[in-house]
Amino acid sequence: MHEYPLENRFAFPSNDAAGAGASINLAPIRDGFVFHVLGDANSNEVDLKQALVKIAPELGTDLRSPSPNQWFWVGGADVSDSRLAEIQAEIPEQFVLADQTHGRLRMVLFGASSRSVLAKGTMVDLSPEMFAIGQSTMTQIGHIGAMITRTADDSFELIVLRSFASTLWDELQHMAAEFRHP
Amino acid sequence: MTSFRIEGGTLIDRSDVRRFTFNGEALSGIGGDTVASALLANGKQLVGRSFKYHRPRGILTAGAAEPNALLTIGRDGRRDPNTRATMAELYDGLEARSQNCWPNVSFDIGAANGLLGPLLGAGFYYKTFMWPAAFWEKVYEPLIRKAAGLGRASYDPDPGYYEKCWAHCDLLVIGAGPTGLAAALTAGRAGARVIIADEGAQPGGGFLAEGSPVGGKPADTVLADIIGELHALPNVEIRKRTTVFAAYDDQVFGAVERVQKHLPENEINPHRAMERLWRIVARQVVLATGAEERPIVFGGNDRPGVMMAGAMRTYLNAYGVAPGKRVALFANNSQAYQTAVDLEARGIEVAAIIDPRTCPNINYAGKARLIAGAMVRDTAGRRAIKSITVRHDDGSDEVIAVDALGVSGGYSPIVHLACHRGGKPVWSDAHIGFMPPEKTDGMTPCGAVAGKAGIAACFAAGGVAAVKALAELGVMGEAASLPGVEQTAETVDHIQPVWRVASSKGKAFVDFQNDVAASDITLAMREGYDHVELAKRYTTNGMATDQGKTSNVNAIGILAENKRVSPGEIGTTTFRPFYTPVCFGALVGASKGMDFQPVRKSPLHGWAERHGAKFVETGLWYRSSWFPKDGETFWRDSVDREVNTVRTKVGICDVSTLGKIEVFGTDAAEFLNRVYCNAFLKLPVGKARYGIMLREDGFVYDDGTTSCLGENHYFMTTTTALAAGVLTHLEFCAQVLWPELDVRLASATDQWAQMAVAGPRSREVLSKIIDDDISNEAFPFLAAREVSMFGGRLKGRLFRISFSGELAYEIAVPAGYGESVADAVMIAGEEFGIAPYGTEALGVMRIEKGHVTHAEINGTVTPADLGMGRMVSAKKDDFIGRVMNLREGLVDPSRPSLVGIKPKSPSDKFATGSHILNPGDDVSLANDQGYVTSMCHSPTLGHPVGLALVKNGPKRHGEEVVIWNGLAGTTVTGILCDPAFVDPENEKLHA
Repeated sequence: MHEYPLENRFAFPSNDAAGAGASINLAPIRDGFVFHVLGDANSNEVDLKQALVKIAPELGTDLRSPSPNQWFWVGGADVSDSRLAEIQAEIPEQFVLADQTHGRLRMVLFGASSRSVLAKGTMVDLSPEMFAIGQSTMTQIGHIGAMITRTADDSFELIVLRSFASTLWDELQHMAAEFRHP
Repeated sequence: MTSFRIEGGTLIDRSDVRRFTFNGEALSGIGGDTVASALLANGKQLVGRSFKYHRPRGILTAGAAEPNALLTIGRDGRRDPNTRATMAELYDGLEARSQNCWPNVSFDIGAANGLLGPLLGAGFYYKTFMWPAAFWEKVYEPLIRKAAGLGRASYDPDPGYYEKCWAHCDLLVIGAGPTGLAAALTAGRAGARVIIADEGAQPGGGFLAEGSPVGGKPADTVLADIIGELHALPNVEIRKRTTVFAAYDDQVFGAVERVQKHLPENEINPHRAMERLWRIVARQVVLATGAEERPIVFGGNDRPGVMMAGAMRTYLNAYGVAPGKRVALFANNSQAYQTAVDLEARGIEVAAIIDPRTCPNINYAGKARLIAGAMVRDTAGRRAIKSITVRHDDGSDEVIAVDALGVSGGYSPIVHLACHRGGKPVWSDAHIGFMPPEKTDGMTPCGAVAGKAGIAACFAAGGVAAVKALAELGVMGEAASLPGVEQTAETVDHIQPVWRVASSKGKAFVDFQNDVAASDITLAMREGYDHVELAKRYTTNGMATDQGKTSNVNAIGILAENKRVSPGEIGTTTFRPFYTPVCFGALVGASKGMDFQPVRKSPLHGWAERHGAKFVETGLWYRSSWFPKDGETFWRDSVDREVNTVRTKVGICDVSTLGKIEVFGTDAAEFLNRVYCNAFLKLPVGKARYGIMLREDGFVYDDGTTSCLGENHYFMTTTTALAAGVLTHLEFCAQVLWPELDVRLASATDQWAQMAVAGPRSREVLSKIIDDDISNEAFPFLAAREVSMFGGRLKGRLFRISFSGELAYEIAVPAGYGESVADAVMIAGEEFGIAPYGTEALGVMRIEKGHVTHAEINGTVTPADLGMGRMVSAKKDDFIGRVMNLREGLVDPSRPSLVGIKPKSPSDKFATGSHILNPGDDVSLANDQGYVTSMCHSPTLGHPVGLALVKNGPKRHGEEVVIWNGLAGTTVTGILCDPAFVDPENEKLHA
């Protein structure tokens, strides 16, 4: 079977270097996991975090909530199929976990102009006083659905469906161009 | 040529000389000029021709309301027609051309239309050109359109980049004149997030045209101090060259910013937008849009050299341009006298001030001769004004030689944005104008738009308005004040309304841009169109690109005067976006060409590209359509080969775009049982089942397979087209219809790369990469479960399902591994002659097999219509669509039902969409028996095959029919048959 090479190919364009700039940077997050946690109607984030700390302390509890009783659990570690199966087996009944590591890709947009770039796509007010570090929201960037999470002062993580990833990447490059070539 | 450039000018930089051409003539201007000010400085009073009569027209205003000076600016793809010269900034190398004239603006053949004036009054095209009827479309309309009009759009693509943007603020200040600046200062100092937007190249508004000191300092110095402070406030954003053009619900305001339209081509940054469309979300708004000075309707009021009095001040003080050398003023208000003061201060002779008021209460001590109780009734001059005729109050006429006439008929508050959300303006006798609506939630009109006059009063009003707006946000503020300016008691300028000069000689224009004269308004009334909305449409008053900014109130005044009522009783027409024209580029933004819509790529897109796929847009997806090989020049060469390969060997097809939904929960089986019309409650683990979803109305909504992967875990596939729709439907069912069920849904379309491996050798191929036993015994038809692959290196999901009708599997792997796995399948299949196949071959094979898609599931069919009536459970208590599916009309046995169709002669062809007729019947839809839903050439059978929905279809197998292509006008004899052309016994599926 080893005559068949296996490679986890990325959906972003290979010219990642084009994402760098003085006031704006765009970089894919290649490593890690995205798990979709689906809770029942009575579930809440506190309970989920407590459960995750207990079940998989090595993976952290970085959560983004796309809708009521649902979360994307993200992290930088690579999780094997067997470890995932263990977590799925151990998670309390009120939660169900689906792997979305390949379906939803992450990238990070950072730099002083990051808000100006995103303002070309989303109607969400991302100003520091309205959108705190750690806050997430589902929105559209242009015509593409995406989840924005503020990860630092001028840094935003975007989660997008894999099939739209290359288009969103290109559009963000286009939106950012004026800040790279002032 | 005489230069009209004089000293001064707060907006210009005399060290910056800019060359430009006007109608091919080389001219020069100064940095800071508008095209209008540069033309006037060069003595160009005649700049265009009017819409209908081709009358010579000059520059009327100095701002956004300009109805006359519309030029085509730029060249090739950067050419902008109908550009207001008063708003276009001059750049080096600018090319400007007059419109609607031939051979040139000075000598225009079209001016002959003026001789036909008596025939071309309001509504002339409704009354003339009636006969012969066919001439209207072919002769009259083209001629009228050629004779009348504005600029022409370029057919070259615009190389500029346009974009859209969102902005948010506590306070949006619309207008950066004294009022707006005071509001912005007040709110900015209080720490609020402020956006102040102004359509001008520089903020300042009334400050820019002010010739007198403000608080003991020059006006431009005061302005510079204010702007400096605003720039220093990090919470204040100044958006110049930005026109707020619309007020929408929920405090969203549309604005367009001219980002680079004012730059010469060699200075344009290709990475920056030419124009930017803003959607501004504001918690509170201060409306400081000011007031528009009104023209007066008198004979010859459109002659070049006739200009608004306020515009004269602007050209004089902001641009250092004299409107003429001997100027007269015709004004019914006292504010306009300041123009005389400023003109005289620059040494320009003011020949006379004609004031209709008999006792004007003014504070003017200049040299000009004041003619009270008089009106201008006519002007003279061929291409520019030479003289005016004044009608004195005793009835005598006097001709006064002038080369410019300043006009002021009062002020119309610019209330548009206050009315876009449905409010109606309110007439004020005190101000002789329509004021903003009384109720403007979240918006505070103030300053000149609320009837104030003068810098001091407006500045004070802006500060107070901002304090009020801030209070609504719970923020304390202190109104900004102008240093050295004492507030004085408000004085009322007694304006005498003059809607038209009754003694006018010649045409007296109300709407300059659409050539509507006072006589047209009167004619409309005589003919019964006396309602303001009817009069507008009958005369076209206010319907030009300027939307009647200088004409509407005068037209209302004339209607009111004729009906002897107040203008308030006449009312206004409806204000709607856009306040000023917005180019399509800004509205489209970046969504053009290949960026018109997002592209959705399958995880196997790159793999398909490497195999030479031709892609087809399927919604947003790009799907591989076929894979041409060397020597295949026609798409069917490839498709036929791909079909034959699958039927005889093995093929691989990307089916990743199918919708995929993970269904979890202890009640997942019950949930599926309710959303599908067939039974799902007892689907065992490890099995897939074909399911049909109905709509509530009993018709088929979507189909697909759902597999049971665990006790409380199902994996549903949907059609590509309805992936999102089905998930939404399921969420509605779960959250609204049956919240008591424990079911949770996750879209997994993008998580999995899924490929069909089909053909008699498919098992042999997959056995080489799948570790598990997939023999027919171990993995029979409709088996579905997780499998180990590549010696345990990867987990995948394997489904034994078939759309092609062959022995087939669908294998799903995590999307990132899709290309590797597809490559591996190709390597493993090489010895069996494997080939990739696309959606065209997929479509051919499903027709050959009689499988339906949305070509058949078109919203009008029931399961029974598709030959699947027995799948509809009679045992289940309920499911979506159960009751309505039993309606009489839906169970009628004669309903069009699925049937196969083929030509009687194998060499005959027919087309999808063709109708089915009984032999001998007239070729007419009255005899319609049904229609062809899908067809293709079957390489397996060697002739065309199709599917059709035909009345009583299943009972008519073997019957001869006529296939009628109404579009092509052809008929072919066909035979109805079993829709399963290939393997009707399903032996291949179970092989």
